[in-house]
Amino acid sequence: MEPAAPSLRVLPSERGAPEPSGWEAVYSATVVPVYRYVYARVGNRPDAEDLTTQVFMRALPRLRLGAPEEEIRGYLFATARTVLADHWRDAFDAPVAALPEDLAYAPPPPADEEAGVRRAGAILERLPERYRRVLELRFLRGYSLRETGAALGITAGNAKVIQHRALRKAAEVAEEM
Amino acid sequence: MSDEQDRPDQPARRVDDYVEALLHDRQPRRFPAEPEEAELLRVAAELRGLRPGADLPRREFIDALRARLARQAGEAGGGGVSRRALLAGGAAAAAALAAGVGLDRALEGSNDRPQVARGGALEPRAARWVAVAELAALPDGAATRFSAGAIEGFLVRRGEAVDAISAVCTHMGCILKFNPAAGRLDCPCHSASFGLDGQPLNREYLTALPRLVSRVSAGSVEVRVDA
Repeated sequence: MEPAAPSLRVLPSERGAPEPSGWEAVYSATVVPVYRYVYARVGNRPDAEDLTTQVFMRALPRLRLGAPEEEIRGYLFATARTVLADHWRDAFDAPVAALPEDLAYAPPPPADEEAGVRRAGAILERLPERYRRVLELRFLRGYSLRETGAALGITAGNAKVIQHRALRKAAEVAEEM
Repeated sequence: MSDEQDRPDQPARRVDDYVEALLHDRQPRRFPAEPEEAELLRVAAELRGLRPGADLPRREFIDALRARLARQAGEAGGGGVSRRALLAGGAAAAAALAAGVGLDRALEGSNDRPQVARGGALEPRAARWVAVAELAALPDGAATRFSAGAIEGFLVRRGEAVDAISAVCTHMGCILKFNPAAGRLDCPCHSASFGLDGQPLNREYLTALPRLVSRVSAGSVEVRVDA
């Protein structure tokens, strides 16, 4: 389908994207930040994709298109929080009351979708060296327990024990932040 | 450390299995977690987002969800927006561009590809050439911004040849700015930058900027865009 000679010349004054239809403009502007927001709270792709889908399927038909962008984002992230709370309750029996931090880090402003990543980094920084090292190798570098053990001169079993303690400590630190 | 004796085996193993699933990007097995376990699951999920790029959605996912939402909008009446208009319109391309994905039809080497988008959008599309600049007006060795329909790009002139590349950062979809002093394209959002060849300079997990199909015709620089 190679096009022939230019069929239309666009002069500078005529350029510019056509008005996107309502929901598509909303979707394009928010799908990545909503996904990242969800991912930072479930930590795996299948759940992140499933829950992001739920957020948009649920929220888009109810949006008042043409509302201020902040209002639309607010509604989407509120929906995301609801979907996440349902997920944790249904999948892990973790009651909503046990998830207080969502209020603390609220809907990210437009240029700040990385708040979750920064927070995770801050948690790591407050851990004792040995704990931090294990979590870095595992979560940041994707090392297996065996590789983690080899890097630290300990057994895989030991690495697993330290990982577990490190997570427990990280959970304490996270609660205090 | 005596207070850190391991708990009975079962809970520890469930958390370990959960961590393994996360690290392989698999869906963790569901189980009724004790409150204390739930805290560990939460913090593990949070830490998982640390891996650079791990929390960026797949383009296939973005396309598929858009198609699904288009169907939903179509079934609901969609405020008078037809499915065809949604899929074939420039808005779809704008959405893809904003997310830095789904550029297939505008990209080099896609001439022979069937005009079928991933994710179930099956509307055939035509393309056309759009003149975006006069060659003589482009400074040599520099990047010049242009917009053509839903396409946001840069033209990079080297002698009589011109390359066109996407101006949308492959990280978060922000529009890049040409930094003439450094001879590169900078992202205003997260300090990513790209060379004028579109290659990422400083963030290892970024992909290169997509190249756009362009040509010089009778002194005009033209870019191919969706009709």
